[in-house]
Amino acid sequence: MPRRLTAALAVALLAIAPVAKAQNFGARAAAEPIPTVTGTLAITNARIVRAPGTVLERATVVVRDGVITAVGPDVAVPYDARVIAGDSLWVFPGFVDAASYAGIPEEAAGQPQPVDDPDNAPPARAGFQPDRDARTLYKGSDASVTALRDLGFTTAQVFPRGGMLPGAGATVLLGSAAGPVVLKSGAAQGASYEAARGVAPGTPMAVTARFRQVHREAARRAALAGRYAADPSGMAPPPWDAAHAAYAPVAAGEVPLYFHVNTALETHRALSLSAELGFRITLTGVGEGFELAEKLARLKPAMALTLALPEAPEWAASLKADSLEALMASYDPAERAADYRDQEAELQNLRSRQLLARKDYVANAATLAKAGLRFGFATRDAKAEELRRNVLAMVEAGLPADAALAALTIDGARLLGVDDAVGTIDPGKLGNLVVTDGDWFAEETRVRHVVVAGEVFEPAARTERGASRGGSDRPSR
Amino acid sequence: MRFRTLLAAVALLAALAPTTQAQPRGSVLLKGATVLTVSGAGTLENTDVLVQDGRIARIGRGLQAPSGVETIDVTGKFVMPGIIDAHSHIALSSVNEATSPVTSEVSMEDVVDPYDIGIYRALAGGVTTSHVMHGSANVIGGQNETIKHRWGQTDPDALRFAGAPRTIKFALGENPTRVHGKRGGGSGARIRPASRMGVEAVLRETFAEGKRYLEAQDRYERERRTNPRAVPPEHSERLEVIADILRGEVLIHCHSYRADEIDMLMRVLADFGVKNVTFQHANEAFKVAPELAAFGASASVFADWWSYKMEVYYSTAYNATILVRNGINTSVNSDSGELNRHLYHEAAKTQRYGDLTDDEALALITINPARQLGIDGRTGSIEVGKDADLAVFDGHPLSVYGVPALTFVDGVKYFDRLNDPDDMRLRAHPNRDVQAGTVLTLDDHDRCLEGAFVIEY
Repeated sequence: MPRRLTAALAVALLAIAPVAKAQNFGARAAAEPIPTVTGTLAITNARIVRAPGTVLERATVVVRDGVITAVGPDVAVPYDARVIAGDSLWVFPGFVDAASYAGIPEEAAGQPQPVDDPDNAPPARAGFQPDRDARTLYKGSDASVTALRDLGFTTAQVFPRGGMLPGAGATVLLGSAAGPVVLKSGAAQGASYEAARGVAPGTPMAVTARFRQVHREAARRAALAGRYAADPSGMAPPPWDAAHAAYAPVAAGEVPLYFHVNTALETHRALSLSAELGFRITLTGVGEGFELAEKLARLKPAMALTLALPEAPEWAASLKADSLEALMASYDPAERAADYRDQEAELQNLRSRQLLARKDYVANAATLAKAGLRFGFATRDAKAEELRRNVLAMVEAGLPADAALAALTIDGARLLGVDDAVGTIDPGKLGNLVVTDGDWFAEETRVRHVVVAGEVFEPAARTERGASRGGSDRPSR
Repeated sequence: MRFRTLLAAVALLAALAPTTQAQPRGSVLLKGATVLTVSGAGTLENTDVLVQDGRIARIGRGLQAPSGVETIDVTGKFVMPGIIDAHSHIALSSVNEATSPVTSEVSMEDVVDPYDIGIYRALAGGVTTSHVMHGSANVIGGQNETIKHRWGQTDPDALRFAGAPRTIKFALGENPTRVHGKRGGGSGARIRPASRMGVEAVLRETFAEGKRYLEAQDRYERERRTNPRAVPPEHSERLEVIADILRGEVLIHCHSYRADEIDMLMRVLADFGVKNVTFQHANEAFKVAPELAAFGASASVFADWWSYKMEVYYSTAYNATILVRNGINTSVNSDSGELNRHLYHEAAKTQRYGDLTDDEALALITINPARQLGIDGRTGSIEVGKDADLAVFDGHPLSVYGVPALTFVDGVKYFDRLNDPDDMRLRAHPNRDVQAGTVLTLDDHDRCLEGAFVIEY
């Protein structure tokens, strides 16, 4: 943003500050006895990682009423600012979770009830609910929001859970508001190969067939609706239902399906289906992307990689690191036991191969980055307590730290089309910040504060094993 | 609009081109074998087969390999056409969409799993092509897919048998009536069919519905020429396929056992003008052999497998021979990830039971199934110009001393018994329990003949 424009924006924000404050915090003020003292925050004298690869030493960032107004080494601290002395602290842009279940309640599990017609089960049972909207489901008070925010995530695109078409996603701030504070909506429809239990679509092949059905029928209905709106004479009113209407923007190529793919095969299949039907696709998950890195490099789909990694095999738990390395080094793809009773040699070779196979998963992001691909990250399949460990493991496996930070921030923001609002520490963007006592990619580093649009949260202390000892679901002030 | 459709088709072909190009083709000279051509040429002693760019280029004596083409000495060995398994459930992520008695909209081409070790095991039995089928839970099941065993390719599209006609699975008798009428699918709702009468009713109603759909489409196509405001009929993936069956574009492969139900389906098809049908399993087909011949139907049977449920008790190992002697195009299939590794033994059983000639017995697992799948122009026999899908045996494949040694698909060697390490999987699971000696496929859970087992979804 040009400097003059930034200054103008800052002045404008100053002018509307009292009003904005009332809007921002008014709702909460009614519920809480102590009103917020100031809407201005300054983190001073910190090492500010403005964007991946762009570091400002001993710099200050000022956030006023949720928006960054200034960042740099010579920034004056406003008189009314709450000041966090940033000496020896690092400040990163708040992280972006491109496909998340944060704040989306788990569906009630239990034995599925019999239905009259398994071929036409209720939409919720069939997993066919493109007319749902994450905004109506999101609960800011959910523990999952706190857990994700404590790690530094400040923005997430959240999706409804369950089924082939679970509903529309929305990009929200992970602040203290009970309802969603929406950065973007109507820009993503969730999709997956998840089959229904006991009713259609009961298999991935039936899910595929149903995608074709809804896509083609939604396109037909949309065309008829357009024609009818233009000139209804001589036409019966076109059929309408909520699901097809909600899918219509996907059929028209306006809204992408955020297609969650767990395996290499699902990745191939979703790409084929997208090419066949002509819908826009953003892949989420893609944990086995390394299996088809060349194809992905050729097609360059938009992607949000899962931050979940497969657990290590149980048998390996008792082995020390150097034993595991030695076992991996011993792998022989041409191994052929001299005798079928010689299972020990074969078993050792299988185990060695298994360890190598797991390494591919850890190196997935590195492999895809090396293939020239950019991506965001998605937490929907991962437990909060393993997220940071997994990112560090990915970096250790060869993902450049800057690429990892980009995936966590600006690339994720670009993917969601919110990079003009979040993703870097720049004036005019939202005050989404992660304040740490060291490099976020160093194991011993702790997150000290997380700032979401100016709201400051103190992450709960975590035990060695990563379990939270109490949340920070209220901002400090 | 026609032009647009054409443009779209050209664009689609262009988009698919990299995939087809990616399918590897090999060149090789096989020298000095006994060549079992399973064609008019019969058996050729001490003969060379030259393969160039995936096709059989020359068959003869004293052939020279062009520069760069590998020569393999197969003196004393037998070369036969790659075996074709007309009924298989290997290499699939799912088999049965058992939620409705009619699921023509689903297709196995959407769930091909090129990682399945079953593909390599089939290659080790000389099998180069499998017809991978939907299960038998539904009266009209899903569309099947014909694949080539290009082991090592991990893009599912790379296994496609390009140009193979579309086929679809039907199923009669105990399986669809048990799944839908007696057990109530996966949902507990008991629906038609609960009896063989119900099966016929489902067939007739679905065909009638498909016919109405087809007529509505034709009407719309006519009307839109003069009326730009013509309204296209509601889209149905399911009825599209039924309409295509009625148009003769999809070959029917029908799971069946009893003579009465085989006869029933022929009557239903005759009423709707559908001609091309292969009866799968068809243990009682021998009872209606003249009727099958008159209809022009084919049969794909087991050599000697029966009594696994009530409707499969009346059976004979002479079934294949009786059908062949009645002029019916007959194949022997596996329906199993184990049996497919010795289909040559299964074919040989027809010599013990029925005295079929070598060529007749070999045809049961090569050119005959190729005809049933509509791929006989490309494979199923060793002839110049055909795909180089070849199986090399130590010993005659119809003898108990016949052991597969080399298997080629499109001229590429995918199996070599002398280079066959213990672990031929394409990938390992990152944490599933490793147990030497128990790396099995699970296709037995899904295959469609096992009435005694509950079909899993």
